[in-house]
Amino acid sequence: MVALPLPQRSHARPQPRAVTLALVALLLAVSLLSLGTGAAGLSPLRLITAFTGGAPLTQAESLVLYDIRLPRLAMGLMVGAALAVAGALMQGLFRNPLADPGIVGVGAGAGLGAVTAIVLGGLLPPALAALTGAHLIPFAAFLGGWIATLILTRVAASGGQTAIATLLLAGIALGAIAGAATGVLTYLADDQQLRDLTFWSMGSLAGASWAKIATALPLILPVLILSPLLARALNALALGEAQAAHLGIHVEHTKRLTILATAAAAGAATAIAGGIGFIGIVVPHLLRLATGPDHRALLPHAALLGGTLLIGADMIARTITAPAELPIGIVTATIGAPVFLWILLRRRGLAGI
Amino acid sequence: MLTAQNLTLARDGRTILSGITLTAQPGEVTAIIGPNGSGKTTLMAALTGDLAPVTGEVTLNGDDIARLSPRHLAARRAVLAQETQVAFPFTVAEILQLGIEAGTGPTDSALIPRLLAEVDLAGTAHRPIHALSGGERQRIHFARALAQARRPRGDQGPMWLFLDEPASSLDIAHQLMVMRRARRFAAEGGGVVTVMHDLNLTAMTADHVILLAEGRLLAAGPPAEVMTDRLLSQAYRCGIRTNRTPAQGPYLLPQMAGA
Repeated sequence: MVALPLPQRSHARPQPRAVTLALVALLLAVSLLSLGTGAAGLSPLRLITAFTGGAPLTQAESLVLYDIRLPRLAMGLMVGAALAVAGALMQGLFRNPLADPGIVGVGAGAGLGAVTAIVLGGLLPPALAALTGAHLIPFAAFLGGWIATLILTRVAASGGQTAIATLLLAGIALGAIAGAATGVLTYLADDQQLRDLTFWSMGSLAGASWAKIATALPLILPVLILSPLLARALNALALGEAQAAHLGIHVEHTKRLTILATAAAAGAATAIAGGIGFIGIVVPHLLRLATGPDHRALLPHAALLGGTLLIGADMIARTITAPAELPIGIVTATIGAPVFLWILLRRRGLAGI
Repeated sequence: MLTAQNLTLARDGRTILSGITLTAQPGEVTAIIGPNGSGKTTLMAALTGDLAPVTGEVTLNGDDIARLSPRHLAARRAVLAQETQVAFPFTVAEILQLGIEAGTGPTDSALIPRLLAEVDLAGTAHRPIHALSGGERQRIHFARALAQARRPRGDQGPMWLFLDEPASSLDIAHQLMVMRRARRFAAEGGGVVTVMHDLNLTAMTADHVILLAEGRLLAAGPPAEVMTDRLLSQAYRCGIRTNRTPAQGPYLLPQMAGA
């Protein structure tokens, strides 16, 4: 038999570094576009000329830029990155590309935590309340998300395998429990709290402020920076729990840390931006198609693309029905839900679905 | 040396094996045989550290494996499981890389192509593992175990290769290829412990045979002593007559099986 000289790298994927650069460029471009889009007439071109030696920004323009658009951009990047990384982590943990904090009830748990903090936070002793301050809501959301994830792993994962059906059903049950408890709390809430709740549950970047960013950053930033340390363990976990142990991975540590990281990122993001779905599914899925499933590239890339996608969605949310503003959750669901169905369709018949 | 002292093994509270004491030597292929449900895979799980024994202990090169961290254990032994399902579309090279990173010893860019050639899958490095057939995937995971155990003798004594039915989904040519590779690993100073289904392949390959039946260790020793008519018939609960060709190990004829 004659061996044909097949091109060796015909199935090779693009170099991770090239993808990283492309993603950074995309993020910068979309960021600039986002900063130059809005009700006040401050265009991307105007920003570029102002910062390259042209006419400096007027006081009104500075106010729009630094107090409205920049915090909104920063919060969008942070929340999008947190949601995408939380999705990638959770998919690695459950060995399933359809796991997402929003769908499997972790978002609902985080929401319940946040609502509990809003309504019952006033019952805290004044000393404790002063200590926790504005961090109470993100921390309560993290706690709620964490408890939900722990319940989920207990219910859905048995013997190292996670059936997606069990996972989704557990997510529905968790969502229902959290929804019921949230409903009870709404009855207990007073007028001011009710306004906070409504605003929060809409899922929006509209309330963005540097203060809000400061409350969530201590939970989100460590996850974004440290999650690549879990990459090798999550790669090994893709072969199964026993196989990961054979490859020298401390499986229980990995699971515990991944659950904590998912809850911290998804919980804090939910606390400041409300329920925004599907970023956690769409972003890792697109990246796996482009650069493969290696978590060493996937996790940092997910942070970059997640942030970019969310500020892109936010631009759509605030321009498509201008001067009114669409809740951003509607935009991400419109883009994300069909992708979810598409993955489901392609994987139908494969093991695990 | 691998030793197990008075092991009792249970799954979900049900005792599967008890009173298991055995040793396996580096430089040899040790085969674990026995009928379906005799506890071969359970014993393997205890020897690799997956399953904590109810009583007794397992030592590898003199250390209790329960006291070794996953990291250190991975530097002393590699494992091929009966079945491995990969959750995401990793390429063959990425799968082998996991083995390379888990093991110790020198590595170079030629290692992956060399390992793939050894399992007759040269040129597949950049293909997603899901694009391969079941038998091909099994050989990739064998190559991954070889990547982890690329140094049969390391700083911490011999490296160990644990194989759970390595030949089960392979055609006859690749069965022979995998078993010969395992033999070579033993010849180079490593230790091989393998669960076997095919008794002929066992007789051809093993230096030491451990026969399990009814939750106990029925016999252990060289193939010629363990694979006898009496012991095999007792273990497998059917009349088995082994045959012998001059100057070679025992071989079986299924045609000769009684009721």
